[in-house]
Amino acid sequence: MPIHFLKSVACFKGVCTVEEAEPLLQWLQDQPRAKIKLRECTHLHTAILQVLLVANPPVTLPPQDPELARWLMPALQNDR
Amino acid sequence: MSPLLAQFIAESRDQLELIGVGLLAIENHPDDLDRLNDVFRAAHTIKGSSGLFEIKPITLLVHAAEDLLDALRSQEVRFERAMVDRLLDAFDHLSQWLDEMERNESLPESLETTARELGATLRVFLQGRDVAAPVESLTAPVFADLVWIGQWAEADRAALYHRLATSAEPLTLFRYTPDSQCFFNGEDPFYQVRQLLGLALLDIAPVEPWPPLAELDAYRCALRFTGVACASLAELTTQFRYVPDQVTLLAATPETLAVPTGRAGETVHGGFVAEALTLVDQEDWASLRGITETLLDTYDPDTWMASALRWLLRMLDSTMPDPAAVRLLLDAIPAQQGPDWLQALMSSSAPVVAVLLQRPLSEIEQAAFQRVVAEQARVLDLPEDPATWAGRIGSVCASLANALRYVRRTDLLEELDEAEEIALSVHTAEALRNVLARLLDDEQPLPDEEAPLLAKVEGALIDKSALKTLKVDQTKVDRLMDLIGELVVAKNSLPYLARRAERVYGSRDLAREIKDQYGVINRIAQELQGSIMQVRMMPVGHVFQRFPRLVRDLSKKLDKKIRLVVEGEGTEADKNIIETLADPLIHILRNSIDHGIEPPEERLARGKPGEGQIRVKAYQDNDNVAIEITDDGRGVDSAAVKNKLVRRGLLTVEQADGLSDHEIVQWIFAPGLSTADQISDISGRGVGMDVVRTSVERVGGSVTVHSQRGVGTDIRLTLPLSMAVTHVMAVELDGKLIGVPMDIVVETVRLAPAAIYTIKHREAFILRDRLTPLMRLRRLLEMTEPATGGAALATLVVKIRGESVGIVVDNFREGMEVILKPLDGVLAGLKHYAGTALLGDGSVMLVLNLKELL
Repeated sequence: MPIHFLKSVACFKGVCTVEEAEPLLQWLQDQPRAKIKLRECTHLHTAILQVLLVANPPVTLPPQDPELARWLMPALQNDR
Repeated sequence: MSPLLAQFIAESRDQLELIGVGLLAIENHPDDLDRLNDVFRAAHTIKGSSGLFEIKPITLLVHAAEDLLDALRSQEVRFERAMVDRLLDAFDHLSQWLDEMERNESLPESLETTARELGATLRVFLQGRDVAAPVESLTAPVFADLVWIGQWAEADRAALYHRLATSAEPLTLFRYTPDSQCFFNGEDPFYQVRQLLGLALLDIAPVEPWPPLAELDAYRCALRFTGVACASLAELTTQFRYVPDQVTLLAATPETLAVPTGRAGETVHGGFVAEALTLVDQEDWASLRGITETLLDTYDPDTWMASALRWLLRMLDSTMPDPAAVRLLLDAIPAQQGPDWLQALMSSSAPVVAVLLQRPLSEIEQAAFQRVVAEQARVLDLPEDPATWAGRIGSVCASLANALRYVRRTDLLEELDEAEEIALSVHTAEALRNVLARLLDDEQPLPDEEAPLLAKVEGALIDKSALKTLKVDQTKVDRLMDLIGELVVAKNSLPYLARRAERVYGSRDLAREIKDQYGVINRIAQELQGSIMQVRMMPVGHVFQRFPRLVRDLSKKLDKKIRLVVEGEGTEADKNIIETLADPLIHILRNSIDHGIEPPEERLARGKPGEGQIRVKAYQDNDNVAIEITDDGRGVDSAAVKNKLVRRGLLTVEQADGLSDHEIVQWIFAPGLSTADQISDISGRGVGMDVVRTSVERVGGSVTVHSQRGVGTDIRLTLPLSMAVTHVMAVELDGKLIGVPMDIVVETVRLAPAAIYTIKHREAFILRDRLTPLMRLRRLLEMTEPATGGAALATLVVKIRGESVGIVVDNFREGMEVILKPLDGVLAGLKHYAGTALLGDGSVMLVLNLKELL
């Protein structure tokens, strides 16, 4: 699983596919204080992106991939 | 076969049927654009889907047909009757190829040549048409404005602006709104956007406000990607080629990025704009730069004005500032909004306009056009300044001219030119204002006939989406049917149970309760049965659809004039019945066309109209569907039939003479009888009407014929509405139950042995003054017959092929509804039984096929 769900932190790794959108949504619904770590993430599917945009959890570690960080982080930090 | 291919074949057949019907309609009403559109769309659908498979011949052929249909639709070519012939021919081939596909899942390569040849015969009609290569139009939607560019930080845009100023890269704006269901197609829009060439700025935003997290549907895409890429329009077009309808693209200039942002409402230094515009006219960039820098210092950096001035400086930084762009930015300053770069782009970027030329305007474009015109009016209304007058008029007219070209109102260009001249020479903008006023009033500047047509198409599409039809494999419905049959049988065991409760356990109350429950279950089961029967029902029109084509082709071939009248296509019957009907009906129709209807000269000589008429009429008749095929042709020659019957040894001369004409005519259904003098390839191969009768009787129907020499023939098929439930009359024989189909039972009589006459070895009795043959079922089934003494014999009177026959059985039992299962496996050869039915007590009842038995 490229997304590891810890107690209140989800760690994203590598390419996160569409199949993980639903579990992530479930987890985020159950974890109002969730945080996410994107450091090792190289791509996340639009469906996951959408879930993150709505849930808007704090990102503790932005992606190392500079290009992903460039497009993703402004969107995730909107309306904070 | 892959499910996709199977679906393609099934759907294409449906489309072909539509096309066939449509083409015939067009032949008679070439102006029927609706029909033409239907046919075109159907062909287009086949072509589109065929691209998914390696079936080049089909794609090639349909493409050629589609081109011709399209040309007809747009009235680029005139309609000719020969077109319909060729098109029908092409689609006939296609239909054969689909059959071939179904068998082999591929088509021989040699067909490609055939397809090209057939295509060439179609394209012949296209010669002489303007062969303007169709312009690929991809950018369907357009931007309403470009204000959204201001959402990115000025610093980011400035960096991009500088980069473009030095590298001269192209710049394209895009807005990508993925389909909400796109995740199910395996698309990942975010990934696709990340792959874009030269992606420079990106915004990811929801299409509509987000729902609360708890209500979010993770698999419904509700995002919109807006951005700017350093790539050409063509490059982005390629990258978005699979989702052209979801993308808005626009080739832009670097200046497009110059959207000032910030707090508006600062006082504008009055003389600045006028002075700056003068400097622009003189192309005195250094002075302009000077006054701009000075002014910039007086504004708070957060204000809109400061932002605008910074952009002005950036433009002036370039070695060759674009006067038009600078002017536009300066024009935006008094109102502190804009500038409208979209308008500037529309005036200058020819390629975008060219791409869009081929289609009617969308509402957005319409609105944009109105805005451009309004903007020009506003510019004209600005305080007059003699120094910039000429420039202003020039730019207004240039923008207007471009906008007019964009909306294809070139008719107004001349007027605009005149107004411009007047404005320049006599220094008044009245004429120009008039033109503008007219354009603004003109809510629908579209003299295009396509507009209403398009609206109709959209209407049709909406209708289609509202139609909730489910395509279900027939085996699934059959399975459901079987299950319901079992339910009916299981339900029937409840009365037995009630009887047992009463007799064996002596509990009347329980028995009554069981009976009550039985009543409820019985009602539900019946309704269930009724509804599933409805599912299987389809209109007989399904079969009739083929008739117009058949009549058309055959009458052409035989040089006869025939009018086909079809009535009651909506009458419904079980799918299996309808399907069995197809071949017999076509056979009857062929007979009518070939033998029935006379050639026109003969008809005229007989005082009939030259055009023959065949009427096919379907209607519901109690539990049956009746179909009548009536022609006004020469009728059946009963003398010829009689002759042939005698010659074939089917009847003796005496027998034949004893029959009425009507009775003789019925013999046309006998095997091996064709009265036509010569065998044609249309009908009359001697396998004629007996096949009709056999197949109709197989589904429990009957066929009769009435014919009057010289006046016409009327063939009537009667078929049960559904084969699912059979009414049978149960009779007792040797202690067992045996079923007799109820539809042939006329009455039941108890016959005293004395009333039976024996004529030679045959028995008979008198029933209402008629001698009726009598059979004994035990004898027919080769069972032993116990002596019955003088007891009355239970006799079932049945009607078989129009004749009454008495059948002696041991005893009568009740009539019942059963689900008749045909015999299969090793028993399938037993023709004497129509099938078996399961009874409520779990026993099996055999149902007789008396037609075979007697």
